[in-house]
Amino acid sequence: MGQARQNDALVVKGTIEVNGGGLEVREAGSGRPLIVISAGDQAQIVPLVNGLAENNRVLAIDVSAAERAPASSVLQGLSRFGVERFSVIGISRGVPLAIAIAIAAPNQIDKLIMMSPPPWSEIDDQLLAGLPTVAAPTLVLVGTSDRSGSADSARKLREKIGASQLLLIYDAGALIAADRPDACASPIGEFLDHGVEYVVCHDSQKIRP
Amino acid sequence: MKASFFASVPYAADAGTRDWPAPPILCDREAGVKTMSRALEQAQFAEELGFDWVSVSEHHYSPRIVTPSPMIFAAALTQRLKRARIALLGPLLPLTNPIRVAEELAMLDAMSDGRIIVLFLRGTPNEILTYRNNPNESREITQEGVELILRAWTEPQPFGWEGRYFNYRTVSVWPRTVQEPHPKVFTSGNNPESVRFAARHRIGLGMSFLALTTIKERVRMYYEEAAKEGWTPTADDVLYRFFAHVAETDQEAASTLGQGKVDLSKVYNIKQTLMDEVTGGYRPEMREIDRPFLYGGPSAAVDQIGELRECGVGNMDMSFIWPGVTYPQQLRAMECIGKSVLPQIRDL
Repeated sequence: MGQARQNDALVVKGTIEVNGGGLEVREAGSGRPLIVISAGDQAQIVPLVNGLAENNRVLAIDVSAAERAPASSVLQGLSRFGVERFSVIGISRGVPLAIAIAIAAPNQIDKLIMMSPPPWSEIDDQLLAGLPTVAAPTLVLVGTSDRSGSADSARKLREKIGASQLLLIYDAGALIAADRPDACASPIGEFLDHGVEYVVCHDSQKIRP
Repeated sequence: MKASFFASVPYAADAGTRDWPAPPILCDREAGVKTMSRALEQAQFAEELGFDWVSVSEHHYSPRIVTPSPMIFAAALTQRLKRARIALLGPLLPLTNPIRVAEELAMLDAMSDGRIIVLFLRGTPNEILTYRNNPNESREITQEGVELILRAWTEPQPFGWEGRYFNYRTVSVWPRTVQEPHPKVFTSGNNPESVRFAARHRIGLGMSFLALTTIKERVRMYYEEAAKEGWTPTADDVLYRFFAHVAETDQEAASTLGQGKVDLSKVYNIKQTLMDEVTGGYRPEMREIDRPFLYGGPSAAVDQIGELRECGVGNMDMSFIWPGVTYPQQLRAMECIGKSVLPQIRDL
């Protein structure tokens, strides 16, 4: 079942043109638009995307060909997919573009989510300077076994963005989405629903209804 | 070498049972009061004798050790002891909310001005029945709990935790611990997997009632695993709990000890079928102990502690409870160690 679903996930829908090149866009699920920006091995994010695609229209963009793609080009490209207001998830080296989009188009962003952000020194200074202007409810996830420098970046992002939450994913390393996809998808789903109010528990604690 | 007095807080009367759980009707209410006051006096006596730590543990539903909440007893100790460190050996993480544990230990660290030490444990097999936790998951729960508590003490900003067994969205512990980055932490070294865990997380190794050869092997493994993680433990990172009975002479120690033995597998008397259900039939290295590890006159005791030090142990936690040894005899053994042994082993 798991294998079949993995094969069914993410269908190529086209490309977004940036700097004369093309960023492949793949899609899964239906519902609220959710842009997932990552770089590199796309198989790593399939289990997470499968989880998110149950309630969202996921458009996955692999930016490994152009990590510094301008946010404006990506926003233009997304509008051609009929996506105007959306939430965005940046994973690892996809985090800077997710931040850039959140800064460039605050009125279009519903929620900003960042997973395993790259080391602070690898994030463009201009982006860092714009962090306090990010208005979208923001969730930063990092694995407790991640030794890549993500944890330090995650803490700083949490500090610099006003409406933000930091979530530690236990027993996950730098490949957080692959290590514990369900442990990421579940709180992300709640964050998409409730924003920073996702801290409120709505699950019944009754044992014998 | 650091010496710790284990304040086991035994019921100060004869309950007449070793069954677990012991029926509450057997607990005389006044004896309950005496149990606590006597144990606090004994802990203060240990400090006066020069013991470096007073330790307290967590056990439930039994007259044998009446500290279901080690935090409460430790809180009282912070107000009675002026110098000795207070070691909680230790909170049973499968039975608790780890964030609450982190908060209470931080309070204790502030109340004692930084004298708290802690060892996190899964609990003896019967303890897992206390609040009906799954015995098969107790090790994983404990390990996740340790990591969560360490984070709760060190993360500078509020955070959430998505674990396998614990799930929090808002963690932000006040007060911060006095000790930086946090109180000294030990975990169990009673099995090899736990030894690897301690090394991986750069925390101390605590063992109890093991044979010297086993201690030596576990410490060797601890050093090997720590080297793989890029650090080197010291004797301060290794703790061993054992029984002690010392007198002015070997002969006096023998005459006051009597013929009693301790069978660690029967300390808590529960049905064998129930024990098998909890442990899956696994028999841990729990053995019949013929005599206390530390036993005899001062000279013999100093030699035995020297052997322990050679195994890599730098902290010894002593229980003076032994079948047939009366409370006054326990006090006498403590006094003998304090006056005749501790001055000789300080620099080991």
